[in-house]
Amino acid sequence: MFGLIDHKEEINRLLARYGVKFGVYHNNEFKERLFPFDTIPRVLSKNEFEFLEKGLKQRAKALNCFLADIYGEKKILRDKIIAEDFVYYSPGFLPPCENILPPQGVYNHISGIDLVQGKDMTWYVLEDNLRIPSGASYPMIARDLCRRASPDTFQSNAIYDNRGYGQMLRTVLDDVNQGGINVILTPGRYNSAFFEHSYLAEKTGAVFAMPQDLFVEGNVLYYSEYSGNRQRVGTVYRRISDEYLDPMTFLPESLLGVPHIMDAYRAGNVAIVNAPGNGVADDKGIYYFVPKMIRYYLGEEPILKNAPTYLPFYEKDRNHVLSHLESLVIKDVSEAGGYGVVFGRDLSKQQAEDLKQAILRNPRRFIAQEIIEFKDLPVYENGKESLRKTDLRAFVLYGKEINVWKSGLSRFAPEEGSYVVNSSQGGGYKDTWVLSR
Amino acid sequence: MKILEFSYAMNIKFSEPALRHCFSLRCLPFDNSYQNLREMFIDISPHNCLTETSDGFGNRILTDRITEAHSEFSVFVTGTAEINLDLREPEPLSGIYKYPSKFTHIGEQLAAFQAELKPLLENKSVLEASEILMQKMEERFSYVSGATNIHTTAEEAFQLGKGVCQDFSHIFLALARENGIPARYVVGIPEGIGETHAWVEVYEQGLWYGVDPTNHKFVDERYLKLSHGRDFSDCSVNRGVLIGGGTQTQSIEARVKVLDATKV
Repeated sequence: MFGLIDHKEEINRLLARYGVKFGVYHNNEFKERLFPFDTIPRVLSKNEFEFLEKGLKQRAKALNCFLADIYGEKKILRDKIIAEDFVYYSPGFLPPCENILPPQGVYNHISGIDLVQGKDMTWYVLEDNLRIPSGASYPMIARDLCRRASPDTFQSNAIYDNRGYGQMLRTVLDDVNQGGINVILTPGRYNSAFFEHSYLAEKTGAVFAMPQDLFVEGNVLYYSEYSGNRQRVGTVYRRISDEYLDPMTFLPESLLGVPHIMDAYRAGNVAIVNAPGNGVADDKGIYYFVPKMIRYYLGEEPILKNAPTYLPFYEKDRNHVLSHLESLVIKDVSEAGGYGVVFGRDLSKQQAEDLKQAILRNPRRFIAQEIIEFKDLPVYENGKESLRKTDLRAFVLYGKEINVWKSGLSRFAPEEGSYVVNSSQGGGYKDTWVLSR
Repeated sequence: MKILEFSYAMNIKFSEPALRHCFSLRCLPFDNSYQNLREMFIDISPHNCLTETSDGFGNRILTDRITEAHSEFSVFVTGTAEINLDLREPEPLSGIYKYPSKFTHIGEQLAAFQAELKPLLENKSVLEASEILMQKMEERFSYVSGATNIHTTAEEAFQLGKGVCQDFSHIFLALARENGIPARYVVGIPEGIGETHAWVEVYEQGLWYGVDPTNHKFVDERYLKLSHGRDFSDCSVNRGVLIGGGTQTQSIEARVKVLDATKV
């Protein structure tokens, strides 16, 4: 492993040359920047990974049950396990998706579940990403370069090869395919993960398509080749968010979408990966209810813990939040990507008062969590090691069976002491090694 | 029971050729227990591969993608339907009709109006409350065409104090839902000749009841229903995207005639 450290600059130079970039689009401004790679990996022992794997599969399964229920019978609301306000006010709940049964009954084909490990070594789930979780390509390509830079490291350590992600993904796309080719649909190069879209198309053998390459006729989705021939599409792994996916159903002004793709999907003629409407299950408010879903749908105790969370919507929780603001992190459920996250202890008196008023005015808009003192991992910087808060995005793939990728994206905070590891906020990433013995 | 003869005709003329024209038409009447379609004739011109499908609200949709260049697009649907409100069947309630939707969020002025209404609507049945709402709206809102457009929200229209059936319906929906009455937006054709009309339905004990706030009346068997949803955005009769087309000139004629049941 130490052989790798010396190659840090060289690997980052290669990553830059391959175009491994991360685009940030906020306040109408697009900036593309490199995603710095740190060569010291996060290492997960075989036992530790097996524990996570069990917990992640359980979670992904329960979330899939929830999506099937919420766009179908809604038993979990009738049984009052989840307060229906959280579903019907969620911007992720899309009534146009009601009563669609996706191929194989799978909604969250690819779940990116964000975890952190506390200083007491306990793992906590911070967030479920079930819409278009990105990031798998970064450790894949980094691993490839690391192996080339220091082959010895990988010969002397028993590390699972993570480069099979493309094959795993392809299996999922094939499992749900409704007859026809697999397509990866990108909105184009101004998307923050454009590099990843093209890389995954290459690794899965899927056709890489822009919106104008696809069309629907008679409730069937087609890819038009340069020759003018059409090919039926059986699975579309779309990297376009729901609201832009189909101008006939969602935002009418969307130029990125494919008109009538929702009709083809509703008719059962194409699988859309991930299913439209998944945002209702990874909503920050719904997160609170995931352990309850696991008990409700699976009759099991949750293996992985949620971070201790309070919903100001409930009076008891609200009182606790208002009187313990300084020890909590407050998240606005309508924001994503590390925006709308505030630490109570960083607020001035006036700011804290304003936030309390905002919570009282609209309690459903916020969740509050205990701050988890999560483990620092070493990064190599300016010739020496320093410590950074690091999370782990695990990828769970769901087709005919559920599998957890034996790797993951470990993202670290931009500065020592900072807790925000979201890549939109700066910071870098590490490879994640899972040991095979 | 009433027998309605209906027709819906729409024509769009493009000043320049339109290409790759995709459309979704919500202009086919429901065919259900109380609105029974006896016969229907459809003519869409031009068309390529006309397909009937449905949406998440249970509406019937005609879709197609016209690839060839065209300078005119016309839709004609006609038929007869038997309406018998006594044959309505109980339906489960979808929670989406209890919550504010895109066009029906309550702002400052509607909130002030709601404060006045709240005591009047307490302990009233859904139909009584609907009647009071229509009365109160009549005092505060009047029918004026051209004051609002298809993007106007309930709050914006209420601030103006005037609008068309779409606005009457949105304001009614906003207030009904705020008072705990599940309500949905309806597009259809009432007896007469004109454009399509918008009204609302309120839900009580399994059944949906039609309320026409624009005309201050409850919906009877002289109304033909085309679609329903949370608000206008779910019920566009013609939703389309195309390339080119230049300036579009649209004409619409919707017609319902009540036939003499003894002679049919």
